[in-house]
Amino acid sequence: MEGANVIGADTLIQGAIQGRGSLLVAGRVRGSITLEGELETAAGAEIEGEVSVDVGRISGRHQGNVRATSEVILNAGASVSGDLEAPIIRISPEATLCGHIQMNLEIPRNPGSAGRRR
Amino acid sequence: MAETIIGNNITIEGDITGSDPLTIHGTVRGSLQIDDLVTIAASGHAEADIESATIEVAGVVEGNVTASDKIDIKAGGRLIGDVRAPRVLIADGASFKGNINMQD
Repeated sequence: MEGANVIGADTLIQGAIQGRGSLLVAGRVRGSITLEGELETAAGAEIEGEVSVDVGRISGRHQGNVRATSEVILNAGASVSGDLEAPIIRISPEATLCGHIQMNLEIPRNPGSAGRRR
Repeated sequence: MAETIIGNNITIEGDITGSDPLTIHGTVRGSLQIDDLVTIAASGHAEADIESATIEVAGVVEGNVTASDKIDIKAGGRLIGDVRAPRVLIADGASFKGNINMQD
């Protein structure tokens, strides 16, 4: 159970979340998420702040930019107000995006870390 | 019931509030205010004031801990800070430094 990271639907985190592994957010985060790994935001999730991950699977509401080294997927019902930046981006017809899209081949993971070429 | 689990490769700097039971295997710096249950697991490290009904410490807590029902410091657990709770359990093998106030 130690590997699983879950923010429950009735939990609010105000601050910076960082680390490695998979994270499922069903609740609310006000702050930043910096993850070497996969972030999944559930349908009722609300994230205000910058997201910097390897893979982002978004079904919730985001205010803030979402950057991924591999892939960002906006599922049906997702709502993002902010920029998406990833080499691969998939947006469901039932998702909402208000922001810029940038697809680069080489994305720095976050300031101060070495970039990784995939 | 939903729960919140912070694994051992995650660090949170900030405040966590809510009604989902919270289990920390990683690191939290800030504050925790959770309705029913906070568990600091063996690998967990909380530099935080903690408020909940029941608080279980198997890892390290540096901060003041207030429980409306019970605080349980397990063997191997370390608490540095003040404790306020009507029921306090400190296991043989636990480590504790601080004040205890069991009165309401």
